Amino acid sequence: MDLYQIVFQTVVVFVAALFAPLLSLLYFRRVRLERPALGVFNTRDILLILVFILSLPFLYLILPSYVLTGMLALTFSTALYIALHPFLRARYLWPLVAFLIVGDIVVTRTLMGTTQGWQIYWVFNNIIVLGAAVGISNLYVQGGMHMRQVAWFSLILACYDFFFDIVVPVSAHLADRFHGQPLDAAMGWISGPYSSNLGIGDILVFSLFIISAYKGFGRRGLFASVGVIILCGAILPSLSPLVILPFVRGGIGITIPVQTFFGPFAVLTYYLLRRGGPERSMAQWFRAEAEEGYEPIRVSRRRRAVAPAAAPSLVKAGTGQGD
Amino acid sequence: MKKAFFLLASLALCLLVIACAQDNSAVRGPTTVRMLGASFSVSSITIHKGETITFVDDSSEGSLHILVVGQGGQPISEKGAPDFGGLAGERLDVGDSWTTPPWNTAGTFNVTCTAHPATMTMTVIVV
Repeated sequence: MDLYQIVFQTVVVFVAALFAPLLSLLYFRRVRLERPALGVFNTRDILLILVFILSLPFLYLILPSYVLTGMLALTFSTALYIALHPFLRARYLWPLVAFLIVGDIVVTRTLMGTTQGWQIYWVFNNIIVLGAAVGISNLYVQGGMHMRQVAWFSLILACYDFFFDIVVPVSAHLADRFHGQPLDAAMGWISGPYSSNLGIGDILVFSLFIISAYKGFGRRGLFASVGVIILCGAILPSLSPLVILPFVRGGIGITIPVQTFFGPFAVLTYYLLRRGGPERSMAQWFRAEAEEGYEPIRVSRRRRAVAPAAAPSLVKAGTGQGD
Repeated sequence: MKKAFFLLASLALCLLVIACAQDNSAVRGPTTVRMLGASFSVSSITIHKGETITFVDDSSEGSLHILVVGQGGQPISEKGAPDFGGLAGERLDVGDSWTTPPWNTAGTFNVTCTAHPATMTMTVIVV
């Protein structure tokens, strides 16, 4: 495999694997989302997400492309709404979302015969996927998802990645099908003959991991999670082709088995952090933040309308479950 | 006997000339190039002027391909090459096939896929 492709891929995956989670963390620190009226996140919710993520690739094989594009447009619109509604009024938010979604589809259909067209496509795609990952990860963690659940979730994905890459090698074939499709669920870049991307499943898991680690274990959790993501989420999977060639599709440069490396270390990191003290719940995190006098700069508009007081008390009053 | 031999030789020569003439002017059936996940089935193909090439995206092992005239995934203007869909390129999903317009200019051209820039470039030689 071309060494330049590996270097290019490492840089792209490194940026995607860190930028989205760190932006999610900044969002977590600054923005209070409205908590869905579904109670605390539990194992059943995790299983539902898992089924969705695992079945999504196969939808590419069975659904007509226009139906799939419609489904993805709906999903991403909702995710972008969740992420952006604390910042923008509806009359600005929906035109922006429509511009991003329609822009992505139009570029896919009209400019992909040029390198510049691909780069514009990746700009649209990266913004959409970044916004979606930030919004969804914050919704889950602010909704009560724990680091323990994220870690085990990533371990299950690791088994899935391993099975469908090594035992029954269909992941690469599935990844080929997404590449260049409208609203490709990945962040990536192309430069000359080199191209690389990282799927939204991996980006979402990294974002959930960093936020939940920070929420549960403070700065200790943050540093540990960033280290594990850099090593096991970005560097090892990108460099693995040097050792195991079939791990990476030469033509596309997709880093498929990211979770295979990351999952076991995510669980290990959780239990190491757990030895230093119990994982904080969202309510405990709110209380700790309130004691330090910290207030978020943005609060969901509907939450502000209910009561303009500090967010911590709102959440406790709103759910009554204390997470 | 001599006369008969001369007649037969003349007839054979005439047939040969006609056959050669037909070979130069006739448009043969389309030449097919299969496309897999990230590769062409051939790295080079030779065709005659006026012929077409049919690109077939394999229905079981194929993927999305966007074909343009150029190299390394980058469109390059090559004088005399047929149109490959302009800025959009020629987009083929799994199972699709597409026949190029006739290649009317002799020369060597390159076809590449912008979705697989590192592995999908092939040469078309038009004689």
